[in-house]
Amino acid sequence: MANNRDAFLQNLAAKYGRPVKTKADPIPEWVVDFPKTRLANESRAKLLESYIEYCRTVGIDIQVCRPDNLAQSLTEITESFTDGKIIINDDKRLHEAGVTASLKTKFGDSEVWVWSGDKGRENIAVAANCNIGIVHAEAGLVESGSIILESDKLYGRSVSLLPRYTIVVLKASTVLPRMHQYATQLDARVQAGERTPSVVNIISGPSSTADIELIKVVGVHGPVGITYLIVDDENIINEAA
Amino acid sequence: MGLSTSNLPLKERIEKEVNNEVLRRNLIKAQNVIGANRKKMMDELGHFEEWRDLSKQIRNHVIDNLDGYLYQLAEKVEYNGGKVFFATTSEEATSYIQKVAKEKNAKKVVKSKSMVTEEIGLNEALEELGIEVLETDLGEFVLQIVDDRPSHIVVPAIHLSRTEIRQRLHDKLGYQGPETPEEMTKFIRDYLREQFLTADIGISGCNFAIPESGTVCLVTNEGNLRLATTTPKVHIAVMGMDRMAPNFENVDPLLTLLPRSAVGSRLTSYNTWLTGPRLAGEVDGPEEFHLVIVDNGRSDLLTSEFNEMLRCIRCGACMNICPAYRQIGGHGYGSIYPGPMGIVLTPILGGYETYHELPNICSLCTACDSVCPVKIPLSNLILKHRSNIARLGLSKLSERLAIKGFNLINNHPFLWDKVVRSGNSMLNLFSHKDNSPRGIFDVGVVKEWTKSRDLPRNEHSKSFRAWFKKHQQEKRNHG
Repeated sequence: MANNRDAFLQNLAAKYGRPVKTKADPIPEWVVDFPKTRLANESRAKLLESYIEYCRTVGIDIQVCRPDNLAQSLTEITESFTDGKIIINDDKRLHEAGVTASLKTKFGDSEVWVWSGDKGRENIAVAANCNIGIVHAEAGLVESGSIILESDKLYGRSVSLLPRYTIVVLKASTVLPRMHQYATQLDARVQAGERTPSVVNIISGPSSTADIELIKVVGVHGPVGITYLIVDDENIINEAA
Repeated sequence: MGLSTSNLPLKERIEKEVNNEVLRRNLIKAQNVIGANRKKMMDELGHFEEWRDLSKQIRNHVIDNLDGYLYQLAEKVEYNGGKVFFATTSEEATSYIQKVAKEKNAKKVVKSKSMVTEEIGLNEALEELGIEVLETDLGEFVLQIVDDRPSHIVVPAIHLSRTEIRQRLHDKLGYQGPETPEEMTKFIRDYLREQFLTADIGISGCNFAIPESGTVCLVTNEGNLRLATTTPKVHIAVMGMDRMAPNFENVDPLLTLLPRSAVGSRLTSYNTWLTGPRLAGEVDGPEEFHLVIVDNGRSDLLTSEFNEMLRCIRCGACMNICPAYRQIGGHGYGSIYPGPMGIVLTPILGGYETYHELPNICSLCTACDSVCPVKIPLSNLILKHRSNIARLGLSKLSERLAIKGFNLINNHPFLWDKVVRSGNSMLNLFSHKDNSPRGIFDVGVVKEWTKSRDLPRNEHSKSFRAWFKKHQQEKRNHG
């Protein structure tokens, strides 16, 4: 490897007075296991209740629907934001739930762009002009009011980034207590030989800054608002009924 | 420019900042707000001391295995199709990045905030080649348009008022709107959006790299990091060589404490974990990924008495609680790393010759020790610096002579007794009746000291000991 690696690492090892390690020592036992135990004993119903309550407290628009009225709910929410200029990932889960079709029926084919690999960077230009980007999350995190997006060739990073608003569809059953549970799953995938997605985004609200006199301003370079639409697939959220 | 943010000598710098009313108002507000938010978060988290012990343990494990983890990280990044460059010095790092920029024929670079890129002077190196470099973090952007330097590692433009910011936007970019943060932010959003879409290279730092997967984890709020790594075709991540976590499970505790310590949030708006380059078939995201690993003096810390400083996760909690920082802000320190972590780190990276005065900007109150999420004994390290600086003869001669004099007297009880007694009777020679210093003594340390304090005076004819001795004798005599 002609990038200075060997000399660089030699220098570190020499300072420690030992040969170069090409592998770290095994991870020791940690002093406490709070990352694992925190929130881990709550019931599913309680977790989801806390999740919804916390998100609302920090200004995330969160709505709940049943699996059988996902398409209708999503279309209504979208309608409340915009007349058109919608971009949606080429996500089987959204297509199969009838979301894409419902949006096209409501707004017209030309107002709903499905992220398309063979259109290249045109996708990015479209996303930059859209009002709404619609994505499906892989998981949610209760502690921080987060949703997790993973990249894929059928999904665009731009869809949840360039349009002014993002609507995230999230299955209640994928909501986890906190980052620990997602992180350990990801470690297991890596150990099994999987290449991590080219980007994982753990999103906990719209973009914001407090750089000017520490006054919080919502909506900087990323989306100015975000809505989570939770699909109550475990049938335990009161609101969904 | 690298580490240094000012050409003024220390006293002048401090005078300037202390007399800046706007700055002090902003700093006090910043510390109060962020400090309260941090405390609220830690109370809510519970078991703060144990969480700190855990984070300290994780970071120590990484530092003890730096070569092993770096080897694994580099292997994995290359396996994923990325390129890795190990830079021993800041020049090696900037040369490599210049090379990549030239190869790509880059005209425009967008940057997300990164302290290590400031440390190595990256912007200047790219501008030398005629490349336009845009800071996209709102605070850094505002500083850049008038060539100002950061005064805090998390909220870099905290020393500016909204009026000053509006003035800059007006003068440099023709902004006509009001000075409300909302309107100015909207203006900057629109201005920079165009830049993101047409930039050739996106450059970021790295909060924590994960060796087993070749991932860089970034903690942000504004969306500029996401944009800088979505639309340009090349992404270059620059990392200080210690900035790693053992795996995803063990980056979580660090990401639990970092945003709480830095800004009082459970998590920032975006935790972006990038494993570049993008995969085949993906349309956005970088086609090419470079990881530049920077030493620049960090390896000197490994077995030194300052090695605990390597644990630092750059949260800024120490400067948010420091009473010295409260009065002078980052610019008073004259380094891009200000506050307690700055006065430990800057002399190490930049040398005692240039930075021997910094460790004096501290009252050793130890507040920083209690908030550091990875339990770095900052005040101890500051004291060690002072001791080294004195031994090297870099401290002021007058100070060293005064200490020598004190030691001499202190080591000889007879001398001590005589000096204290004579001092007592001569005390009033030094000051006027109103406790201000007399003419010839109103210089140097005495003059500075008495700007806000009185000199002591003795209004009695004898010392307390003399009086007490007499008093006890009288009691014995009268039974």
